[in-house]
Amino acid sequence: MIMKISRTYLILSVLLAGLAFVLVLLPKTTRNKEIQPDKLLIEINDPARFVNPDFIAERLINEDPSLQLVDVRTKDQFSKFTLPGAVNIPLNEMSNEEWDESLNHEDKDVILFSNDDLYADQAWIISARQGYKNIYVMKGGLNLWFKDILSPEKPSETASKEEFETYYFRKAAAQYFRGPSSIIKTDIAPSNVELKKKEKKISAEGGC
Amino acid sequence: MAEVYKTKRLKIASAIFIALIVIGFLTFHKPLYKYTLTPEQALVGLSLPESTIGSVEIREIINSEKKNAVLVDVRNVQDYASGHINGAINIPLIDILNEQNYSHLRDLDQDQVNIIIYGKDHLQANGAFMLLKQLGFKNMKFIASEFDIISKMNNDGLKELQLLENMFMDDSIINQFVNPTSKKDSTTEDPPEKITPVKKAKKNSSEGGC
Repeated sequence: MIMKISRTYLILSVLLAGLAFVLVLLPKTTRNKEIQPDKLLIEINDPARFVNPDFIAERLINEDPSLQLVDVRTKDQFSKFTLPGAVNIPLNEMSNEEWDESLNHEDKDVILFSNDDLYADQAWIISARQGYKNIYVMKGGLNLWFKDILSPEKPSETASKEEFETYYFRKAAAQYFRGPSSIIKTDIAPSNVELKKKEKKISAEGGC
Repeated sequence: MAEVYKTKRLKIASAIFIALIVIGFLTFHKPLYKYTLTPEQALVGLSLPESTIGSVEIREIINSEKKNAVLVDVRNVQDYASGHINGAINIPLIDILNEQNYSHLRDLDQDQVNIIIYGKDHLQANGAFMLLKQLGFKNMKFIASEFDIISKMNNDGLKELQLLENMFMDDSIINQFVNPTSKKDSTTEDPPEKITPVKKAKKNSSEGGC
């Protein structure tokens, strides 16, 4: 009787040991679960990942701590210009595990940007596949940022009230963000001002 | 007697245990499609000339008779119906992994036919491209532009398309703002609003004339 019991125990323990071994052999999974192609397609098709530059500008001005900007351009481009508080993750290094800290935030919105939005979106697709959440893409990228925020176009007089509101917001934002660069501008400003002396028009006085 | 119960319970427990494992294996969701590229590999070769197709090449494909390339329109059915590039086939982005569509694309790729994807904008085309690339498609490129521009190709769209192609890497817009020497700077800077009171020109009464 005792023999019988210990045999079943033996079989069970061998079985469990075998399963434990299988577990060891399973491929190492990353912290995030990779999503399958069909799920990724649904994510790609969803435009909810795009945020407007205005939205980002507003949060930057308010010094929103839950905003993490990520510049996916090259190191070289990043060193020349970037947005306040942005970290650089070049597109081709996007999948590197060392960036996990910058991308994996539960309580922060990570916003990717590039010159236009193509490269940022490619980076987004890879990070979405890797299962990162809370990642967004800046619509239009830096090109639109400069166009909309730093040199907003005045809406036509017939434009709606909202359009004027965004315009005034952008004007204010432009002043805020131009901060350091406006110093450069004042340097060159004087050269632009040409002192034009008004020539006195000599009225044709009648010669006698 | 107690021993007999013990073994019985053990047998039941192990039977349930094994049954659970078998059920687990049977219900294991087998994904229909598998990535053949790791994320690292998928990030290789994304720079524009490699992954996109230039305006000149597109024109050649549209006009040429020999069909070594297939244009794939990934916009929705309605958009496709209201106008598309000649010879393009329609596979809406959301349906791209449907069995029929996917196997069709897969066959084209294996037959070395170049698949050229375009969408309503560069992002839609890019989405389809990135997904298929990760699934192992090799003979594939996308048009990094909007349909409205591509469709004007034969008229004045060509130039616009070329401009767009450069846009993604080009720093010129940034340089306008960052680099003070650039000339456009002065135009983007808002000039202080000049109030120019309209001076009534004094009419110089024609003096003189003695």
